[in-house]
Amino acid sequence: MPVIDIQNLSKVHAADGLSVNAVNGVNLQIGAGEFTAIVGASGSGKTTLLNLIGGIDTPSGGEVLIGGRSIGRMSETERTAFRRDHIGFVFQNYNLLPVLTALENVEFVMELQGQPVTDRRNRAETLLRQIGLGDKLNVRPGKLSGGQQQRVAVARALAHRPQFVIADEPTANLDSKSTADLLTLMEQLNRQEGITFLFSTHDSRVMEKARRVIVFNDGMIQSDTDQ
Amino acid sequence: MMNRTLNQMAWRNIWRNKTRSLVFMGAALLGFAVALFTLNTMKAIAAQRLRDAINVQTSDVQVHRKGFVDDHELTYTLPQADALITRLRQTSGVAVVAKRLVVNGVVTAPDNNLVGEIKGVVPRDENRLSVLGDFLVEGGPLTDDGRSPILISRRTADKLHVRLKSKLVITVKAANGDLAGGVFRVVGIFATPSTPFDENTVLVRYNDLAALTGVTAPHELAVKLTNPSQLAEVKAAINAGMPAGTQLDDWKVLLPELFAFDGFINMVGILFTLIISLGLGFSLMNTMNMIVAERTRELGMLRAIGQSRWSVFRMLIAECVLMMLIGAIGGVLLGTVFIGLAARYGIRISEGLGMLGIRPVMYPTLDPALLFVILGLATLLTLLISLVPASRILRLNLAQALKQ
Repeated sequence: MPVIDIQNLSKVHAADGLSVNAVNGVNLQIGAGEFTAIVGASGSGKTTLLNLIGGIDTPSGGEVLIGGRSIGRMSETERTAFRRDHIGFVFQNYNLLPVLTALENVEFVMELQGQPVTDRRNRAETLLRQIGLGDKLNVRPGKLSGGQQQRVAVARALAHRPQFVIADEPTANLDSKSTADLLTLMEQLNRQEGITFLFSTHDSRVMEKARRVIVFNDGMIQSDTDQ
Repeated sequence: MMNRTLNQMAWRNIWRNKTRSLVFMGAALLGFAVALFTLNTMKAIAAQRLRDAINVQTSDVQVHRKGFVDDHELTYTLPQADALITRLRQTSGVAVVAKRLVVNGVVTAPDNNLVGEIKGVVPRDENRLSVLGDFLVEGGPLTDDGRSPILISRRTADKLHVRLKSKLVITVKAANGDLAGGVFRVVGIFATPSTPFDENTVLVRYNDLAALTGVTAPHELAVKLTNPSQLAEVKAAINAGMPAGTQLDDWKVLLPELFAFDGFINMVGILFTLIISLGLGFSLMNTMNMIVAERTRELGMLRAIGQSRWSVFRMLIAECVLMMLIGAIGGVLLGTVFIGLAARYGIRISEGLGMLGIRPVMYPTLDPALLFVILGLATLLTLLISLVPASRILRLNLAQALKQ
């Protein structure tokens, strides 16, 4: 069974009396351990698709099944708990909490889950050391570089052992070295720990690393190729 | 555990924009300090005015013949007065009973005269019941020694152009209907905070006034209680055995304007505090709106990674309450310091307020209950005001929030 099963998914945005089909009848399956990139121009609907998959937005039609459960049919409370327990998020702007240290940021979702303090502290420390930030545990995001912040964001997304990680343009704000470091890290985590990554990008370097590339255009899948 | 982290985040969030938070907390601090100081000062004014009026003018309770309060008719004396005095003195909760003759008359000096109330009092009892002795500015209190002594106020002395040891003639209506006059010598001059009392009252010995008018039974029994807070209970006990044709009145009836003033002061205090609170409330709402607008993406991210909407909502409320409480606690401390200084050095108030029985210098004291009122008000106000901006979180569109 695929981790993510998308069936005839659509999303219509309505504004100022105009309707836009941001996602239009998409069918897609993502298997466990995939390292998949969704590519396309700005406004092609990549972010909307990821938001629908992540339960951040609700579909106008069709379904997103995760582990067999329809995320669109859940109540708001159920969807929040589902996101917390099953999905990891990496955002374009890092979106770390500026008032928490790197360690506290990574611990945060585990704390929301109610994990014991020792367990989550050990897990957060291990992850941060694994991504090369062992010396930045008690540093707040404002004192970290963009690349370091995005690595902390990846650690936060992985900390609670989600079924998959959604990364929306994770390298958009990074320089080339930080981009390369981050891609290497994500690829390593994917290969060594089998973590499923689904990310949007229009960065050719990211596309090269992906093992499956889905080209998205006008809310529809234009091509879907394995590399 | 999560609560601890949320409170910790709320605390750290306060200091993300130090200037804005400090401006708000400073406003709250000053607002609550001024409110506490003003409330306590107004309460102190009301309490002082009440205390002085009761202790000098009326005492806690008075007994009269029915009709005397409305019409000071010379013949409206108390029946069975001696037996009533004995019974009153045996009543539990009664500290002092003093009998008085109260007659309208004319006080004449060589240069001037005035119409006023002549009170005949028993010096020994009156000096235990009244604190008029505390307001003597010249001479001494009435005693059983000497011939026909009289106490007058500084205002009366100035108006009549007399001084200590001057002679005054008092003319009153006697029991037989004729005019009767007597010579009195000024032995003491007082100045109470109450201008009306000072302008209208002179005090002589009971026996001297009785001899002048031919009326021996008292018009009035003034009763001082051991504990003024037991007014209702003692009144009930006294009322149970009152002779027919008499009436018992407490200070609330005898000094209705004072009772009304007390209520007025309380209302002004509440209004003043509400106005300050509303100003702070709008400031808080503005601050909260800015916080929510600035952090929309961050709040959206918190929701996206799994923090419940109510948890985010609670975090924002905690941030508001913390800011307001810091200001309120600081305000309470500063207000307490102000009150301490005022209690030590006094606050000079206009002399003209003597017409209202207000002393020219006030020494406010801190009412601990008001501390809790201020802190409770701050918390309640914050909870109510912060609901509006914080509720925007409940309606947050995650996809839109993350785009910002």
